[in-house]
Amino acid sequence: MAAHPKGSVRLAAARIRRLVTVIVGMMAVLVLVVPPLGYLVVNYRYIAEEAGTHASTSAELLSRLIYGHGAAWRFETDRLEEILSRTYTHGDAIYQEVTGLNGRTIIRTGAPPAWPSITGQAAITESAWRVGTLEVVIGLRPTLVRTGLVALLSLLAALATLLAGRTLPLRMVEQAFQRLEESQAQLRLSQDALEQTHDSIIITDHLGHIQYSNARAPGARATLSGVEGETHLDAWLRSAEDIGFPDVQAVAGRGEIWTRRYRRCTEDGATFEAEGTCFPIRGGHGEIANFIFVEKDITQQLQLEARLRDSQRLESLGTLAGGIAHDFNNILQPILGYLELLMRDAPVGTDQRARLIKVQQAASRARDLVARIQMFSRRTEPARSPTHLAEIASEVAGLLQATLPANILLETHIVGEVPPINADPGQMHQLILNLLVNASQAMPDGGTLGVSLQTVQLHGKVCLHGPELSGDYVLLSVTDSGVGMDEATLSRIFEPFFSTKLHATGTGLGLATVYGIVMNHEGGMDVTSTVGVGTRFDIYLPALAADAVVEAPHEATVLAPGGRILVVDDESVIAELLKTFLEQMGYEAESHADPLEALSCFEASPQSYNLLITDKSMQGLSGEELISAVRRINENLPVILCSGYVDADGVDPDGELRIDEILTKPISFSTLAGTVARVIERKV
Amino acid sequence: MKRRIAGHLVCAFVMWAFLGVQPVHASAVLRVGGSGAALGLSRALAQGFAAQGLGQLNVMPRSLGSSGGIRAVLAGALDVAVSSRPLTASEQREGARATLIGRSPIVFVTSRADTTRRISRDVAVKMFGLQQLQWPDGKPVYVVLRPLHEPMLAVLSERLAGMREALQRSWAAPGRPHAYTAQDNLEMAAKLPDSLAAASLTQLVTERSHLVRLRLDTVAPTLENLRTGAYPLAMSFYLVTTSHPSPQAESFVEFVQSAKGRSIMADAGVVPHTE
Repeated sequence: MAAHPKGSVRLAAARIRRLVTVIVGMMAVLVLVVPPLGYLVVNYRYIAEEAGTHASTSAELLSRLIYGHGAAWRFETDRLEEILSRTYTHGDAIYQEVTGLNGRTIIRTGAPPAWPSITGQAAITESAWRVGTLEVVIGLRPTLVRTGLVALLSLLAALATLLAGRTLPLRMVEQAFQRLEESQAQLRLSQDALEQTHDSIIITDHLGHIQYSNARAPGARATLSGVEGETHLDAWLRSAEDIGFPDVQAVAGRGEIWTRRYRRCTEDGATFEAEGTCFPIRGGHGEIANFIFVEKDITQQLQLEARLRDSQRLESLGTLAGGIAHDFNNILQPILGYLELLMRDAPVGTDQRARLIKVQQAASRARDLVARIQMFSRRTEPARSPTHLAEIASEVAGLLQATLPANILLETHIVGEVPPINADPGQMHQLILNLLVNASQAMPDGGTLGVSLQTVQLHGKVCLHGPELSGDYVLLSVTDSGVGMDEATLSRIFEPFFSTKLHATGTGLGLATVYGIVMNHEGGMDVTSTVGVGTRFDIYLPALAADAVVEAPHEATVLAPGGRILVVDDESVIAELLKTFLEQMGYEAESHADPLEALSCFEASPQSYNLLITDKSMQGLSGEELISAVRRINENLPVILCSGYVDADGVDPDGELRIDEILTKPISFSTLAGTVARVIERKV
Repeated sequence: MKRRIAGHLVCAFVMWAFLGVQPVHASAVLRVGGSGAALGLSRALAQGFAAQGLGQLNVMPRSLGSSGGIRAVLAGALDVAVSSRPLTASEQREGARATLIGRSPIVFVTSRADTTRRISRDVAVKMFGLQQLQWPDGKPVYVVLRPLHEPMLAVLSERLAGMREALQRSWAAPGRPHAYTAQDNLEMAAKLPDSLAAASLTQLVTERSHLVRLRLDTVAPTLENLRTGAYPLAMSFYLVTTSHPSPQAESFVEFVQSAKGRSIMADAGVVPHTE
């Protein structure tokens, strides 16, 4: 499918122009010459015939008239004249003369026409004897004048032919060539597009013989069948997998689209996942004339699909873990609360207090575990502040250095000045620690553990986990030279409680926590690992602009007793615990497990309450609905919302409920005291 | 065919013998010719002249026409010409002399065998002018036309209103056959179906034509109606000689004007001049 160069098209156009000019010139000459010449010849022959015929017929008539007259026929001049005047109807100038045998003129009609003229003669007979001659002379001048007129018209027609034939066809030719050039340009564009595409495109005839292949399918152009210059789609297919052209033809030959995925080896030995598609092209009569075979490299597509599946799986796990954590928080809340009350009552140094301390330690571990699960499930809202990751990395590395075996070399590398990020410092601490611990555990026989930080500028980077990233990012890289992981392991490392024998020493939440923290901070993450070589984690976190650094608010911790507080939680144990906390703090509290009952009490005496503390998720009436109902009665009543979930974005997004504080369960005595005091103080 | 060739040879011999080369001689046979309309009349008069022992007449077998006959007399080729028109001034100057001998009705005739027996003047004019192309029963009419110079047509043009224009129109119409002699006229009228032609009564009588003679309006073309003036159409016949005719020629003219001659003319459909 070779494209014509533009120059050759113009050359062909010029050649056609010359040819058209010659043809039109010849046509003009023919138009100029043939009509007048033909008219003259035809008329000359007609007049010559007319002269002879007229002479013969008139002489015959005269002979019939004078039959029996003998020599007296010459006296019938009147009748002779009448006969001659009626027998000629040509219209041109005619001269007729009847002469006797002695040459004497008997009659004549008309005047002898001027030169040129045509003469016809016939004998006049009487009783089989020739008695005279009729001579008919027809002038040619009228014919010549008419011929001249025809010639003039022919000249005009020739000029018109020349003009029209020289312009219209040439214009059409030029337009045709212009269209040809445009279509060739389009063809070149299409070819370029075909050549530039990342897909291998092969066009064959209906028997599979390759007629075109783009640059992505160089092998198709090779001599595959052993015959020089002949290639076949069958060979191209069999070079990848055990597929033959008959398999393709069986489907595409029916007018359907053949599609199959397979693995192809490139000429340099690499492999990639391919998807071949073949569809038929029909000819003008509906028969299948060609096949178009497109082979697409879908390796990246498959990877993305795998990543998507992983993300969806982790998201599901997060949702599940978050729900479990919420319920655990509700269980832990009374345990920890009442423990705290018991601890306040237990004398210091007694066995009872020592046992309570152990119970509290166990419950605290449970709370931490739930907190880590919430961190994975992104149910823990990070307390963001401008955070210098380099400082935290150095601090964690310093702490870990002392605990690492001697055969593990820890290398820290910070490239340039790393900008701060808007992150929860505690969660960042947790993130780096988990990654370093995970890396160290992957090197039972020792090795090198690397931590590096640098600033990178990304443009639509797609990570293995996380959204597409663009802008300035801080790249935290943790590498180890440990045992590495295979693909199956690699695809599950962020699942909570996923462990291998190698990881049996851990809790199984380390990397899950890392995943939750990175996702919670709108970051991205890539993990690459090779069995026997090592693993590399690349964490991308958005860098904070210098002018966005703000000081963290100072938390009030003032305990301010006094006032009546309405406590609502459908878990009656929690409602009672909070009431007890508040009463210990010196407040007057009223608890309800039924939110509707609580609302009725509030409606009955709204002015008697100074604060509302309500759970978020309750049976019968949600926390938001209760607050909304209360707001219709008292717009300024301080409100604290408690929940096992903490997702500030999801609560009162429009601010209509004007919630003063949100507390995450489990709520400690001191946290509750500080929050209540702060809210009441703010309202006062 | 053989009879026709023999006839041609006889005629040629007679014409050569009497007209071709022999000069006019006092004792020679009197030569008569001219108008075709009076050809039969001429023969009847020649027979009467011969029967009286006044001399021998040779009447030309075919029509020379009035003009042709007069020119032949002036050229000495004929002794007496029978003309159906008077002499022109130039002919008189050349020495021709004419004697009116009688009139014969001009009759409209047809070959139709039905009951058609009359024709009005208007219809005659329209048919000769090709303005009415059908008979009243719807059949096409075939009009036999004559050259415009014919003396009979001059009479019709003079006597019938609109006939002159009608004849000029039909003469100019292409493709119409014309009868150049009186004999052709009757022959064509007899051969064509549903024909219409005009002819002299003397020709119809002397040539024994079976064509139907039509009344003009209600008047029959008879000698009696012509004498009384009831029938308006008639053509005159003249005997033309030179100013110095031969005694035989003068004798013939006198015979024609005699009682015998008038009687012959009356029998031949001519009203003699003296009447």
